[in-house]
Amino acid sequence: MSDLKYVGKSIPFKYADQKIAGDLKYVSDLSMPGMLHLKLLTAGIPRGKVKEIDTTRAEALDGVKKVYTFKNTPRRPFNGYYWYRDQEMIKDEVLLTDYVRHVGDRVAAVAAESSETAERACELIEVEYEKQEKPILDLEEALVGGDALHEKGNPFAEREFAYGDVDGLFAKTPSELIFSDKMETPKVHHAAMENHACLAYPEPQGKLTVISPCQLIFSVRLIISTLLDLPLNRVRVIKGNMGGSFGAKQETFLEPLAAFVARDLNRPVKIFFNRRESILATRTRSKILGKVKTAVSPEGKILGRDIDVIVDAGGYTSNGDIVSAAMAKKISRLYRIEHQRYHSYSVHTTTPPGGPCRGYGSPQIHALTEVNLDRAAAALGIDRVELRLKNLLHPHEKDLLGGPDIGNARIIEALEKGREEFNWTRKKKANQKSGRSGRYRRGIGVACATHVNGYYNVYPDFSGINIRFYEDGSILLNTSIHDLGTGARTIMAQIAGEVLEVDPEQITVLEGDTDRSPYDVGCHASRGTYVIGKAVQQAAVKLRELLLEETKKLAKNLPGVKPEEKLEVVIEEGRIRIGSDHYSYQEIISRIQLENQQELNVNYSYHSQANPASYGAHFVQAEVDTFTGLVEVKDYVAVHDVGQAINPLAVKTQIDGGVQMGIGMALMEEIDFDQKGYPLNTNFHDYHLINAPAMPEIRVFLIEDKEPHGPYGAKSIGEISTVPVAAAVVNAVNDALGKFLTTLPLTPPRIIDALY
Amino acid sequence: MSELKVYTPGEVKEVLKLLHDKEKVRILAGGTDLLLELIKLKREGCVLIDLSRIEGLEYIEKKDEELEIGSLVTFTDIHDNPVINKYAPALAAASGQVGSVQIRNRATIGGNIAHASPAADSLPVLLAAGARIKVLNAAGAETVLVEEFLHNKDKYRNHLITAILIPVKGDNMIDFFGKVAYRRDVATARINMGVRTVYQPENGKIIKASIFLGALSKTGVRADLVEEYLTGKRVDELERERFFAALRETVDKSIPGRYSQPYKRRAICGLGDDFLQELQREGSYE
Amino acid sequence: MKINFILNDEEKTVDIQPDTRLVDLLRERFNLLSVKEGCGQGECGACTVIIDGKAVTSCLILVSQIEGSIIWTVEGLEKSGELEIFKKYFKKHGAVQCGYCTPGMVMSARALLNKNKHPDREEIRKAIAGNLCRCTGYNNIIDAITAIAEEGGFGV
Ligand code: FES
Ligand code: FES
Repeated sequence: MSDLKYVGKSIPFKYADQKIAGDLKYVSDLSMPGMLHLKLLTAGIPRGKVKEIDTTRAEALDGVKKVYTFKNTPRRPFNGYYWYRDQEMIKDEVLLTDYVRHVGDRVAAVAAESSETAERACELIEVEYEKQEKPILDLEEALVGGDALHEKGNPFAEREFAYGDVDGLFAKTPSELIFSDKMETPKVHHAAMENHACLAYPEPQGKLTVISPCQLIFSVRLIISTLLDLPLNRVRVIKGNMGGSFGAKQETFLEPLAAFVARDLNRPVKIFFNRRESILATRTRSKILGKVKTAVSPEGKILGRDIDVIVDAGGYTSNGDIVSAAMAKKISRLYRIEHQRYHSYSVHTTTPPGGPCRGYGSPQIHALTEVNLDRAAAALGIDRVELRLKNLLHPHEKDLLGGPDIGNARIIEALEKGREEFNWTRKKKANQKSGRSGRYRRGIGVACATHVNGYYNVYPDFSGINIRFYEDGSILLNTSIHDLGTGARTIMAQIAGEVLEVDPEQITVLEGDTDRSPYDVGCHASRGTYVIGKAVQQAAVKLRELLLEETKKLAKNLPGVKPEEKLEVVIEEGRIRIGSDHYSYQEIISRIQLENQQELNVNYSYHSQANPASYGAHFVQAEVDTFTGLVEVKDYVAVHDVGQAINPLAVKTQIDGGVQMGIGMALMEEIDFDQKGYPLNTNFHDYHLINAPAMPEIRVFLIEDKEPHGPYGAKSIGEISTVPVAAAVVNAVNDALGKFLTTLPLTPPRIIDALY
Repeated sequence: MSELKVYTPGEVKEVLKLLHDKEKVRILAGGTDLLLELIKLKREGCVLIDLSRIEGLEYIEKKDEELEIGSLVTFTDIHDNPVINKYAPALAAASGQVGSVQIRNRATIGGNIAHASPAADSLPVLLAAGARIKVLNAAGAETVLVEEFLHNKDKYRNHLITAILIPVKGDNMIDFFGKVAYRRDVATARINMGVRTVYQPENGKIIKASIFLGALSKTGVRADLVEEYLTGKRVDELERERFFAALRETVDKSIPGRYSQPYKRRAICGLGDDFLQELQREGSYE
Repeated sequence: MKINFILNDEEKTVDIQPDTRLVDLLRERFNLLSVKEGCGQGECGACTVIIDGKAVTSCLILVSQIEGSIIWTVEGLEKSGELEIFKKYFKKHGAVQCGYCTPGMVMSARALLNKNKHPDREEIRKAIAGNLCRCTGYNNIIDAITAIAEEGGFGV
């Protein structure tokens, strides 16, 4: 381990200086000569068919270029989740709709010379609806109510995954060993600090370029090309600098509209949302309503589990079905459970669409199952950590649902480490002593969780890399990585630098540009470090080989070397040794260019070899004010099984950020609606995030035991870091109160309501 | 495409004239409340009177038994001011809990009173202390109780608040401010409370209690039941549960059947509890 | 309306609609893109600048209000050389991820250090309570500000 030079080091992020100085231009900062501003008119009602749209007043406004509605935009339905050809999915979204399915649905758009004019014009558009129809908000009602937003009806999708004999098991298990819970997790706003933005502009030869702070340039390209009937080579998508995503910018829904208008008007067109639009007119973390029934032996062995979930997809399908499958695939990768069933329905409701959101269903499903385990532990009188330890999977144990090998799974060590660092036993005793009385009550909670490392075996999971040496020994690493602000470019430079013994400072890492960079599936599903990082490592190995090979050719021509003589050529500490002479890269590479007339350039395509599980165990001490219902997180320990931290500081900040999001989900974040379907919190005044005073210090510990197929043994951290949080926090609150609260977030009124 | 007319008078009398002459006029002080409605103001073609060039409304002075605070003093300045911390500590405390640092650096006490959002943090303490404000219009000056102002906002619509007058806290008084919000910092009060109590130093008996609750109504709610309960008692005679019951009843009476009632009637006891602790700490009756 | 002020140590006069927001003036007229807009309602702090020594959200200020003011943005700190120490420690402590909140954080931190040369962690938390960051979870930012305060060197 210690012989690594760049991997395992906390190197500052690339472009950090520019970000601090405000020099880095985000997509929302971009402007171009002649650029038009495209402003959306989003629906102000939850549901209704558009009867008439009168755009004449808007069109008459000085500075308005054109007004768009369903009447003059493509009608072809799409799904923003589409990323490879012939992918099967429900396509039920259009650029601009004539039937409103949630407040914030896209109804019209105005292209104008200034954003203020566009905004003003939007206010002048008069939309008349046939009638305001009944909203669909309650998930259980949606399931049986017979009311639907789309042709497919409600529910629009059903899934079942099962193994073992669940019915048989529950039939023979005495009821006192069966533990049931019903849990609701909230519709959460991603809250990337940069609102959604994109810029589209026409180029010569009928080409269209789009700069987007997205996660899948090739998906954006595919969807635009499909909707606008353009061949792929006429659409160029460039990943722009982004102020955070967390999944919010993973799906494609704004870019095609900007692209269409840019083409229609032959002018650059920019969309830049405001906060209300980002909350209502993009994507959200899918809300779920889950039921779980777990059979546990008196000794604490989990015998079987039956899970029923309703996924709230919101007004459009998006990933409302896929996220359900993703949740299912986590249930057999944490504990050894011989009989299990997962069943789900997905329904449409008159609320903003769900979509990918950090963890992709994992935080939701773990909230359900980890809170439920605490109920079992309490009833059986088994310590909650012990109960988990009795059931956790060992490295390479089988995923009984048939998923890929879980790999070098080190969750047991993570949990044990956390127990020790958190002082679980001592804190538990202290709580027992103080009892559950007094105004402020303290509780402790723990949760374990698992998440993925890419798509291996489910979807295509490959990455093209182009890497080349410049003649001075510096490197260009051309990838389709999308740095979401996580430092992905720095991580890639560290990996390549390690292989090639070049300082990561000397490595330029390019982000995705569909015209210039090799194909990659995109930065999602926690595949950045594990898959793309591995691709980079392998490509760098090839480049190293090429360098040696060419050096050997060169060595033959060195003065004083006889042709038949074989000189040893090796790379040592970033220099090349030929025989007993040392040369810098610069010297050698320049000569390779001059004498061998060869570029040191490697194109490499790597497809993932596995999809091991990443793990985390989180421990929380929370204090509840039983008068006000406010919860303060007092102590927080997060232990993660990461294989190898490429950049420990980056890992730590990922975890802290993940915890921030998770505490929000547990305690305060929820896009809320009134009974008529109108949203109640559409700005940061009413939609609270965890701010600095509400954020606890996080004590992070890493289990670093290498993962076979990961680059230098690394596996994912970005998503898993937020997966156990809500469950652990809720468990701590429940412990403090002696309750089993399961409607998230645990807002002060909900806590008070449960207490009195 | 500006439809907002903005005037930037340099003299108070110009302000008064504008207030008198113009329709749909709004006064822009710090702007942290008003500018949230910027789009609406533009749409409605409002007229703004920007006070940023008015001088002389940013002072803090102690005059005998009263503190006088210019209406354009920001919450940061109030919170940091040693005189206010000494003579109106609850106001200093409340000022420290208005919004974020950035908001406190702009928001003014005059603006807070004029805007009079139901959850405004300064109001309960001003009400409890019996504060008055100086208002001006073209017809002349007037000094009016904050309480009266809040109940007659229409009457004072075209007035300019120039100063706030707060009776100072004496040695035999205990002031208190408490707030409950869904996030500890930078969040709107769900309920807040301002208290001023006067006690007899010899025996610690409370001889007068003035308690106002905010975020229950547009004008602040006097907790008369609670005042009654406290009056005439020594701190060590107070029964928590009866005190809480009076607080709860006050909430129940002001927002019967409201969605937030079950929460607020409980949360108020949190503030009551904090206040009792403060009484115990400060009530040096031994 | 003509408005005079000092922006990043340079005297400026602009002729502008008085109801323009300060954030728009800075971004559009002066191309000071460090000033970000994340909410437009004073709730996220991305647009924080320093006026007359104090951190304020430029989305809730009209240009008519800034006559005679002294305004600093991150670009000004860069020019004066003060930004160096922020760069050093924000990088060292991993306080920057996507970076969208960062200039606003820097301005809030800078204003805090005007007032309080040795803030403890709690005071730092309060000082940046109005600056939301979705990426870092704040702790690394607090580490960075702590280190900056320790190294010190800020005049008032
Ligand atoms: S944009 Fe000004 S505070 Fe958010
Ligand atoms: S670094 Fe992304 S919001 Fe703070």
